[in-house]
Amino acid sequence: MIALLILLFAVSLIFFSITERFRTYAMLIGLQGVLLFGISFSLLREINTLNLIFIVVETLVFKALIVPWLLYRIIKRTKTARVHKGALPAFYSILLVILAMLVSVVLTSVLKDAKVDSFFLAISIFALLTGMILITTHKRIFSHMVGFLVIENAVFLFSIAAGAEMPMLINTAILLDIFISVLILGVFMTKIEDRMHSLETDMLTKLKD
Amino acid sequence: MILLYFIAALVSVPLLLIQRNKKSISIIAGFFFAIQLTFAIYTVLSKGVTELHFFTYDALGILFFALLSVLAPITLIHSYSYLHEETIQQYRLYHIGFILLSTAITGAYFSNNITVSWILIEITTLSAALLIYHRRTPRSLEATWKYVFVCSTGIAIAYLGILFLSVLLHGEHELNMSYENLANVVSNANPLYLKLAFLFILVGYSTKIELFPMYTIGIDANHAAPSPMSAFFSTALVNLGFVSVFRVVRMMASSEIFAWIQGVLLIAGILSLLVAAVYMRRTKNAKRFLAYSTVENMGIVAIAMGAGGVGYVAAIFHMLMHGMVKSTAFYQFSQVGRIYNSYNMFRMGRYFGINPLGATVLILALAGLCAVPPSSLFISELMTFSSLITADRWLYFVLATLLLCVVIYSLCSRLLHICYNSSADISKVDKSAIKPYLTYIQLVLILASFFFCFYQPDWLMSMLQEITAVFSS
Repeated sequence: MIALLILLFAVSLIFFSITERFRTYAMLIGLQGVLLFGISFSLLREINTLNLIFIVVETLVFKALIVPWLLYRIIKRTKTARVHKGALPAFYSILLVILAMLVSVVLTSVLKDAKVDSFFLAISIFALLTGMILITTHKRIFSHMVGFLVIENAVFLFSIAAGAEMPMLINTAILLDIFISVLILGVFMTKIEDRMHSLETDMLTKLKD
Repeated sequence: MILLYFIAALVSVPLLLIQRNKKSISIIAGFFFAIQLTFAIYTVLSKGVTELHFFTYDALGILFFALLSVLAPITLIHSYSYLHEETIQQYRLYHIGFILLSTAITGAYFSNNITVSWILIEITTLSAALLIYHRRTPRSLEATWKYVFVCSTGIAIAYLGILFLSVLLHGEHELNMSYENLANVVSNANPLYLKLAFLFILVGYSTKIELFPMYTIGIDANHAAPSPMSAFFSTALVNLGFVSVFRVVRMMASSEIFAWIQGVLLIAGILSLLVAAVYMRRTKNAKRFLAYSTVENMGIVAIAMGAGGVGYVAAIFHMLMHGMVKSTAFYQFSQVGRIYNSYNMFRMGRYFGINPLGATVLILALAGLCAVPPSSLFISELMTFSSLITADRWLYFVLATLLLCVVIYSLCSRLLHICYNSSADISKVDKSAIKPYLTYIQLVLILASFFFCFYQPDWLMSMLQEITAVFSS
């Protein structure tokens, strides 16, 4: 079951390179939230109420519901449906993502350690690289934000790969991270659109030497 | 006591939110920083005590908190000459942001747990964002967006590093992520995991320490933030980045990859110096210029840590003294900017004629930043270069010297241009912006830093020795 969920998570990462529609991005982020809930719930060794609340809030409430809802709201408000025309063509994106997958497999074999689940490690490195690709090859702030959310999911997955029973502190840290992403989405992206009437990074050039 | 301090901060925020006039906001903020100063005295008297399980008053935290406690009220006083046109809402949020930032930095200085440090550093991103967005202009919005986005990405990467460290504690019933516990396990840890952990943490925290590679975000934040706050960012917040990185370096002292860590720090230091040398020649904006000077100083600090030996003492001493010198420079530039109604250095000139006392402070700050006697930075840079020679790092010695020559040339040419450029049009100069009482405060601050060039008190040196003792054992 866990293997299937993690495989689906990897497939969702590949989808990011194929799609050019922001609605699909939002949907994929929501799907990843649900998958992360499934993975972390399946891994619970014992049902601890507080731990369960944290997992539900982090994954289902924030990652699967609030964040995609905010993304949809921004798409509707800014009327930006697709990635920038100047963005990397889908073919090259796929090539890059395949390369990222290969790199993550190689890195995982190098980093192999009895204390870490290799399968989780490989997918979390893959997610980290996919997030970075989204940030560096796209011009719209929306894509950058999605890249950041994918990196956050990579961190979440890696915390599971580390195999530790996530203590309260780590849970709090992850929740804070999610809160910041919601803040960026809810406040700053909307404000940038309101003030600059665009979500292009080309508009953000007022600060220079 | 730290609980009371946190409560004071938490009580101040709602109190500030309900205030309807600026005077009462100023009184509450002043009261909070008075409590902070009292708390600083308490930490000195309670050295070594741990409170709330996660906060220890160790020598490193005490030194930097003492500096913060002095700089915060000075920043507040400078803010009042800056905030006269603000709406009550802006005024309120400015003070709330300042108190939250100050509290989060304080907590992180004393944190003995790497995860708690990370959480508090993340909180500094939020509170600093509130201050960068203060003006609500397109420029401040851009800077805030970049700051929050890049810092959050950086901090997420740092968190990956922390998770790599958590792997070392696999099998422990309760994951104790204290620096002390981690230091006990690094000697037998997987070296590859340690290297990755250090790299991720250094890259992530470079957003705060303003070191290569993610230094850019600090430059933009300094550019867009209110000038008194730029002074606070370049000192207290940068010091927080340093304290966090230093604790990780110290934690790794007994690991087998320590020589590799020193190599990474040396490379990061040289690259930071290179960036500063190039961009200090290019930039016209006075605040960006000073921010690049911070990058240069952080480069020196990284080189000092990379060189080892007496370099560790030099790094901490440099950070403390840099805090005093750089804040003086920023405070004075805040006044300069208002007098000329611009931060473009090429439009400035004849400052000695306009404001002789302010120009004197500027010249003293120039001496301070160039690290020539009587600057206390002279002592730390001397120690840094001697540690490079002792460690036989001749290539880094030569590169650092050459790059510092370019930096010193830039500092002299730009600041002397402001003081003496006779072709500047000064018809639009606003002399009412000259505030002698602020200049006197700056004078005291810079002279206090110069005092440490001639005399390093025993208590300070013994604290520095205590902090760095682990490297010599």
